[in-house]
Amino acid sequence: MELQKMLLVDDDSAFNFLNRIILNANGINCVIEECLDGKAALDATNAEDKCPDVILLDINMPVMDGFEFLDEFEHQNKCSKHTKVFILTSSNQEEDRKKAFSYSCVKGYFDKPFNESHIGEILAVIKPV
Amino acid sequence: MKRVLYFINILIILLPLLVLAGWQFDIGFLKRPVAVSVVMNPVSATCIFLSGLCFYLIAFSQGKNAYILTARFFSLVIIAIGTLKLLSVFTPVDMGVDAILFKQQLLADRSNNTPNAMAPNAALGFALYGLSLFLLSFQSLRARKFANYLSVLVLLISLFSIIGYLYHVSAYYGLPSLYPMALHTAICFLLMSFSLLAYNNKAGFMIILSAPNIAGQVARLLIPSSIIIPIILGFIRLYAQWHIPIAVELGVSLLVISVIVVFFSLTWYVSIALNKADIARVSAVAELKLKNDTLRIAEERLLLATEGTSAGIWDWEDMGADKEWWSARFYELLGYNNNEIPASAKTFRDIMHPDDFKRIAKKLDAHFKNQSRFEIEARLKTKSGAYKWFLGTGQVSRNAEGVPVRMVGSIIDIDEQKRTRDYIEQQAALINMLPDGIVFYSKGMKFADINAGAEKMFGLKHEDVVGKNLNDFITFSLPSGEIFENSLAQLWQTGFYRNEIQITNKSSGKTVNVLVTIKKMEHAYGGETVFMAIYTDLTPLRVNEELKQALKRLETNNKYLEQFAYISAHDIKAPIITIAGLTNLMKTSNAVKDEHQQILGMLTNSIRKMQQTNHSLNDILKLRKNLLTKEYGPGKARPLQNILDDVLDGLLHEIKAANALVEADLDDLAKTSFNYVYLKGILYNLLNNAIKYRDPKRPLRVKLTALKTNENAYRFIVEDNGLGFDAEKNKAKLFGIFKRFHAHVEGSGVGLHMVKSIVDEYNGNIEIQSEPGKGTRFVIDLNKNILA
Repeated sequence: MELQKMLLVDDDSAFNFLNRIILNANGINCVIEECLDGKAALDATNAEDKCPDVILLDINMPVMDGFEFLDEFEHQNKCSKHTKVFILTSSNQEEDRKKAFSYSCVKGYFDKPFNESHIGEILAVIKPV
Repeated sequence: MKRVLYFINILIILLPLLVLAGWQFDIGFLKRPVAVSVVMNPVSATCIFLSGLCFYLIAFSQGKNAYILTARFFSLVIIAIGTLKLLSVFTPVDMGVDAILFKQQLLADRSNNTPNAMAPNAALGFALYGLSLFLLSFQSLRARKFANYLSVLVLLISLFSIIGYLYHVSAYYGLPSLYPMALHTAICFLLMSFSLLAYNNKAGFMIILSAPNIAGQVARLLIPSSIIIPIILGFIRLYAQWHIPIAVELGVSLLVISVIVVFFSLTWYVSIALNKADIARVSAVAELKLKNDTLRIAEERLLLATEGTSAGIWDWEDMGADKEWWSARFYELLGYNNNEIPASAKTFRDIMHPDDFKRIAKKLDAHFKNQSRFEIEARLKTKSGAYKWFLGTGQVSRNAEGVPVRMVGSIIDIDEQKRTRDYIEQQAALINMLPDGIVFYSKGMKFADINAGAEKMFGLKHEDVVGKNLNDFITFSLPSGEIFENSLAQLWQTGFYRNEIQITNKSSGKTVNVLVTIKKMEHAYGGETVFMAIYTDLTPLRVNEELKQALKRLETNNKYLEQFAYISAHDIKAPIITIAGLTNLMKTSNAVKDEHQQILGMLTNSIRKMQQTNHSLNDILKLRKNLLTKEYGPGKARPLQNILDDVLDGLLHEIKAANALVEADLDDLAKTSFNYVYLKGILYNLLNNAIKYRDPKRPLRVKLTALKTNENAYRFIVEDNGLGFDAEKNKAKLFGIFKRFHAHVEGSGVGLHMVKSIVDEYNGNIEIQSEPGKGTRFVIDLNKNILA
C-alpha cells in the first residue's frame, strides 16, 4: 500500500511543522495534514472522504487528549479499520505505553523527538516487505 | 500395824519357850507368873509355840510353798492335840496327850489336889485356832472368812478365862475335870486371835472393821467398847460388892444404869458423828451432781459447737507426740471424708504451702514464747491438690511449769474472701495507675476517694480532701457558658452524665478541658450511694489531633510538590525537543548567515544542556515514583549475572570508546536473583561513573565484586583506577542532586544521588573510599530485601 495521506496531531504547531519537514526530507511526499488536539483530528477524519493512512498522535493535549481521541476513534469512526495510529509523546511512563497498545489501531509508540528510524518503522507497518 | 503384829508374834513364840524353860529348870515364876493362876501346861505351851511359828510362816514368810506346807502340818498337829484333849474330857478315851511332857513335874504340881493338865477350854481353843490357821494357809476367801469366825470364838474363850480371873470366879475350880486355863495361856489366846484377825483383815467381817470409811470407824469404836466397857463396869460392880456392902438389887440397878448411860452416850456420839458425815455426804453428792451437770452441759456445748461451726477444729492433744484430732468439718474443709487421712502434726505440715511454712513456724514460735496470739492466713492443700486460703487460729495450754503441752485451734475457709480482697486491691491499684482522674463522691458531693490521676489533675492530696466538699477545691464550668450545676439534672434523673467541661483548680488557677463521665452507683461503699466520676484530660487528645492534621497537610503538600516537579520536568520536555529540532533545522537549512553561525552554536549547546538536565530530572522523578509505589516489587527478580549482562550491554558503546577492562567476581551469587530495576540502577550508575571519570593517562580498569557477608546481607564493591576525588572533603555533598566533581566531562550529577536513594530505600549502607589520582572504591551493603 502506498502512503497517501498522513495526519499529525500535536498541540505544538512548531513540532508538527518540524515533523513535516523531517518527513519530506526523508522522501515522504504524501498529503500531510496537521491538527492541534484530538477533537480537531476527529473532525478532520469525519469530514473528509479519504481516511488518513497514518496518524502521528501526541498524548498530552488540551481540549481532547490522545486517549480520549482513541476512545472515540476506535469505535465510532469509519477510518478506524483503515488508519494506523502511531503515538509520539514525551511521556516515558510505562502505563501510558501499555494503555496505548490496548487500542487495536495503535501500531507504534515513539518517544519524542521524531526521527528517521521512526519513519522506517512506520513504513515497515504500511508496506510490509 | 505389821510391825506390831510381828512383835506380838515374837512374843507368842518366846513366851511358851520361857514356860517350858520354867518346867525344865523348875522356875515357878515362869510357869505361874501370877499367884492366882494355875501353871501353864507344857503341851499347851508347845501348842502356843507351834501356833506362833505357824502364824509366822503364813504371815511373814512371803508365802513360799514349803513354809505354807510346814505351817499346815503344824496347824494339823495343834488341831490333833486340842481334839484329843477334848475327847479325853467328854469321852472315856484318854490318851493323856497333855501329859506327854514333864510327866513327873506335872504330877508334882498340883492345884486343888488335881495334877496339872490342859484346860478343856484351852483344848477347844487350840482345836479352833489350829483349824483357823489351817484355813488361813489357803488363798480361798471363803476359807479365810471362816478362819476369822473361828478366831472370834477363840477370842471369846480367852476373854471368858480372863474375866474369870478378873472377877475371881471360883466356879471353874470346882469342877475337877474342868481344869482352869492358865492366865498367860488366856492372854496368849487373846493375842493370837487378835493378831490373826488383824492380819486377815481382807476377809469376812474384818473388811468392814478395818475399812477406812465411817462404818469401819464406828465398828472400831463400838466393838472394843462393847467388850471393854461391860468388863470394866462389871468389875466396878464386883469391886464395890467386895468392899462396900450394898444390896445386890441396887448394885445391879446401878450397873444397868451405868451400861445404859455409857452406851446411850456412845451411841449418841456416834449418831451425831454419823449425822454430820451424812450431811457432809449429801451436800458433797449434791455438789458433785451440780459439777457433773455443769461439766456435761459444757461438754455438750463444746460438741455442738465443734460439729455446728463452719470452722474446722484441730486438737494437738499431746505436743510431745505426733498425733492430733481433727473435727469432721476440718476434713470437709480440706475436701476429705472424715478420718480419710491421718490427723497428725506431720500431715498438717505436709498440706501446708511450702511458701507459708516459715511464716507459720515463726508465728507459732512467738505464740509459744507468749509474745502473741496465734492467728495467721495461710494456704493448705486440699484433696484435689489445689491450695486454698484459710484463717488459722490456735491456743496452747501449758503445764505447771509453763511449758506448752496441748494446742487447740481452728481453721476457717477464707479463700473467696482472700481472692475478692486481692481482686479489689488489684482494681484499686489499676485505678491508681490510670492517667485519668477518678473520683468517688458520697452524697452531698463530698470526696469519698480520689485516685492518683485525680490528685495530679486537680493538684490535690487524697488525705486533704476526703470528706470535704469538692466545690471548695474545684470550679466546674461549661465551655458554652451554661451553669454546670444546671446541666446535672440529667445525672439526677438517669444516674448517668457525660459532658465536656472546664475545671479550674482553685489553688493553681489553671483551667483544663476535660471529658467527664459520672455514674451513680447504688450500694457501693457498704450500701451507700456514691457517684463515680472519670475525668479525661482532653489536652493531649487535642495536641494529637493537631499533629495528625499537620501531618495530613504535609502529606498533601508533598504530593503536590512531587506532582508539580513531575509536571514541570515533564511538560518542559516537549517544547525543548521542539526548540532543539527548530535549531537543528536552522543549521541544516542554512537559514543563518555565516557570521551568525557562532551564535547558533551557542544556542545549540545551551539547548543540549537544558535537555540533559531535563532528562536527568525525569529519571530521578521516575525512580522516586517507582520507589514510593514499589512498582517493581517482588516478582521482578533476575539472576545477578543477567542483570550485569544487561548493564554491560547498555554501556557497550561507552566501554568500547573508553577501551575499559571490566572484571566481575560474583562469587556464588551469579545465579541468585535480585530486584532487577534497583540493582541494575545501582550497577549501571556506578559503572557509568567509573567510565565517565576515568583517568585519561591510563587505561581504565573496573572491578565488580559481589559477596554474601552473612545469612541476610549482601555486599557489592565497585573499584576503579580513575580520577578519584577527595572523598573526605566532599562527604557532605557527595550524594547531592546535580553535584559533579569534575567539570571536564559530561555528567548530569544525578547518578550517585540515585544510587543513594535506592540504598536508603532498602535501609542499606554505602561507603566511598577515593583519592585523587588513584581511584575510587564503592562498598554497598544491602539486606535480603534486595532479593525481591
